Amino acid sequence: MIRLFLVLALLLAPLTAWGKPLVLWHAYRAAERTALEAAVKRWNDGERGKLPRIHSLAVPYDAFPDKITAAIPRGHGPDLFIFAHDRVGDWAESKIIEPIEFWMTEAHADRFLFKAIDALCYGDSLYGLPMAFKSTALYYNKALVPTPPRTTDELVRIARQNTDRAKGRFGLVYDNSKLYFHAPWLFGFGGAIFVKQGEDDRRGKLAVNSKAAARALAFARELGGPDGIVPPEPSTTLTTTLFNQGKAAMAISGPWMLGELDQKRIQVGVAPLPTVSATGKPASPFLGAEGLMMSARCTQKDAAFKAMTFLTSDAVAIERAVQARQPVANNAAWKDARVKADPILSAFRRQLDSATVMPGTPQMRLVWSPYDMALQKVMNGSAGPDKALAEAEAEIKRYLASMQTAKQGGHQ
Amino acid sequence: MTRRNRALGAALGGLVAASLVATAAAALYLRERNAGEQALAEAPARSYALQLAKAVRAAGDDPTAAQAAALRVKARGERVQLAAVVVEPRSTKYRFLRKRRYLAHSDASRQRQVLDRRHAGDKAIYDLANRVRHEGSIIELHAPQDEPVEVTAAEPVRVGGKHHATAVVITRPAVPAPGTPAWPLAAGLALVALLGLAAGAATPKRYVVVAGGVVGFVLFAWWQLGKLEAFYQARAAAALTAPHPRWPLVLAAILALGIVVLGHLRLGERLATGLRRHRVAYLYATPAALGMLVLVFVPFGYGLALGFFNHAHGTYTFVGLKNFVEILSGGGRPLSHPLNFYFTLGVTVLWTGTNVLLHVAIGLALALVLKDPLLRFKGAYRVLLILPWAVPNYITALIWKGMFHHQYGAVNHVLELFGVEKISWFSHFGTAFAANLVTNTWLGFPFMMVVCLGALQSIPRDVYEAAEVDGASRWQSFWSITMPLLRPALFPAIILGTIWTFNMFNIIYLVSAGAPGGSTDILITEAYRWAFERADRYGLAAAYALIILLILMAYTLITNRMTKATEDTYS
Repeated sequence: MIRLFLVLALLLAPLTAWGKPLVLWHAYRAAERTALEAAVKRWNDGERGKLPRIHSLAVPYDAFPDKITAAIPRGHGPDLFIFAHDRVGDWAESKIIEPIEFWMTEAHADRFLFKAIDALCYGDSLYGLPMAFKSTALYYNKALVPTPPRTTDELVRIARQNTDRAKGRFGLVYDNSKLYFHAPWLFGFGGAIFVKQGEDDRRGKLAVNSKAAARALAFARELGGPDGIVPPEPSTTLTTTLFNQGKAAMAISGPWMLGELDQKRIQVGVAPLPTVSATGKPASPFLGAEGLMMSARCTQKDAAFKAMTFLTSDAVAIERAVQARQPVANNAAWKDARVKADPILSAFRRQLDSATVMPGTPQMRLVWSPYDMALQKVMNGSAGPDKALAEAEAEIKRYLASMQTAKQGGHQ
Repeated sequence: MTRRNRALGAALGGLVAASLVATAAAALYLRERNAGEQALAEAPARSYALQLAKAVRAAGDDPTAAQAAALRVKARGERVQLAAVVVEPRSTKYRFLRKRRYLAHSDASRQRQVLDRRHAGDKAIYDLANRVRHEGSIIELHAPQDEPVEVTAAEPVRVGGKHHATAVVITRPAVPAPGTPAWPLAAGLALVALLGLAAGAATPKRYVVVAGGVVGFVLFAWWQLGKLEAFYQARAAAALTAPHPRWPLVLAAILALGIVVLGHLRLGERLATGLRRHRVAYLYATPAALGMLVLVFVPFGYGLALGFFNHAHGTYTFVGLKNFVEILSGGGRPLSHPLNFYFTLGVTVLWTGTNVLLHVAIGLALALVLKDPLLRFKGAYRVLLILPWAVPNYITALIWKGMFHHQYGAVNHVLELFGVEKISWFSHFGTAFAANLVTNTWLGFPFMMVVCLGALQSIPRDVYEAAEVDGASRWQSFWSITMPLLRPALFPAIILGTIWTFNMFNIIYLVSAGAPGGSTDILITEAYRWAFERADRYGLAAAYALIILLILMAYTLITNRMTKATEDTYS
């Protein structure tokens, strides 16, 4: 009997002495997952000291945001999770994620690339520490394009030489009916989506319909029109397929495409997007940050923040960059010789300097669908840029108005 | 059947009904009462925070005066846990980084100190100060398990229109935590249940006694509530109180009286008799009925209710008929706009009409061919023709979408062989609609063919032979014999096919995806997009679903009446 008690006590000891573990949800796969789990193991095997263990759990990406939105308010969610910053505004408004600026110092914030940590802000608060950043850049097939173009004029010239529509060969492929991929031209031509009014990003003024945005649309139509250099009806799958078949000289895509490329067949190069010749401004893609965020329902918040600090520390970030080729958000990682030696990662790092932080506000989530519709109309020639933008702006305003009334109602 | 049995059945029925009513009334009542109690508990904290904010505003930059004010508030009673004033001396490089310091604190040793992680509770105050800048006054009640209830109130201190400081007061209210005591209510509800029991057995004579009991109960509860309220008001230090709602009581009384009347009409008795007579049948049906309740009726009711709410950031607000008005008025979009309800409705009707027409025409034609007695390898043809129906429809949809691709699609390649230029299928309404139509026709005709084949088998041969003897042509016998005899089988199939096609989400969503510009979307995909692709408007999507339901119900009723299809088939 006494022996049985001893066995039970030994079994239960970890639970009582070390308390509840911190549950971490992530949607990482393959190398990224291995690298993250290695870091979690380091924490559990000693780095944590007297703090709770981390229990990491991989959750499928598609279901991730819905699971977070549903589970955390009901108390079934994780303590920590990793997700893109574009939901930060929504989750902050519905009090799903915890503001963490209380624990931050300037020195701590200085560890990260400014744009990456800035993306995780909403209002006056910080809602996560950046794990990695993501933006599109210019992929090129080294066999067809020896040196990547510096300006859009060069880009068009090189692309023309590599376009033969009859044979299904194209100079440039990108999903030109999606705002996400159109953004480089939009910002490069000086357009905007929201214009900041003061410091508070929640009170931005909608500025979709502008001359600059129309010029960007006209440019995209020129590229993707009947005699253009971009194939009709492009999609992200088509981009990968054409690039892999050697039928696309250049492509606009993000770091996620690397894993799908057949690098034995194609010599892949990545460079920052060219400067827009008409304005002299660099084409500026959307910048997204992957944040490590804390649930507002977490019961061990101080310990959870220390775990967050560890998982985003310079040493761990360098490991993630080297092992998983993740574009990490720590300044120190980009000074590391092994990371610097990676030409593709370095290209994404250079692209960050000219990228535009994608707003993480709830308002931004209303922009995508109408803007994509405007792009579709311009690309198939059923509307001119001015008309399409005016319609998109009117539609977004309707959505914004309905969100505003819903909000006022909710506070009553 | 004995009289005793009858009375027992009636009493049981009354009890069940009364319990249901009592539960609903109790839930409503407790909800309202908790809100009232919370307001009572919060009142002192808010009042102290306002006093503190006022004193700090008056004190200006003088920390001594602010500290004195904090101590004054703390001195108001042992219920006050903490009174503090938070200021932000300077901002830094990052917009989220603000150093926050106590200008005053009821614990004198914390005065002028920076809020930091070594002090439990500082995090909450730091975040409050952040939120107050934008949200204004904040009042929150925390009721953690096994710990006393705490109320936190924060007030902004504005000097010259600019945010200067935040006054924070935390109290432990004297009033019991929300939710206690509930005994008067429990006693009252037990009484209602008893009344229901009595009501079931009530004869006209006892009826008056029961009604008197109900009125007595309501009066008792009314009086008891008045006493409770006075009790709370004496304990709370502020005048801000919310009166306890009494309408749920009135509601309960009305419903209880209703039960008495129903009991009088022997409703309970009839229910009990039915239950007893078909005891075994009900027993068998129970699992299925429970399943239906949980899986069908609950979600259905939920969806129905959702149509009257608006959703934003996880909160639902009741908006009445606003969602329906927004949809039916077109939402301020011109009629030619793809997101206008009437445009989508038009597309949906066109979609349904053309599809069903093609399904029936092709299905019937093939069935007639397959019926031909001279045809060889009939079985093989039948299998081949049913195959499109057997493949999961989303797979078929994705295959067709690929076939309609501008560059690589099989359709364009075939057209090129005939010298037709490549068509960009999803760039124009007509072609995109045609692509959807072709896909769904491919999927839809086998069903109609099977239905027609079955019905054709049941038409006796001798009718045709008689017609032939009378000199009727094949065309004549088709219109005069085949069609009328097919009707009973075909009409229900058409009604069913119409409903399926009307709500054919997969094809529209996967093949054209609404392109170009959402114009080929039908009502059901439109509803989906409102819920999951644009602005999380679950309420609007639910309203769409309800409108679709009403349209289809009207359609079914009208066609049923017009054709009497169901009667013909089942009589």
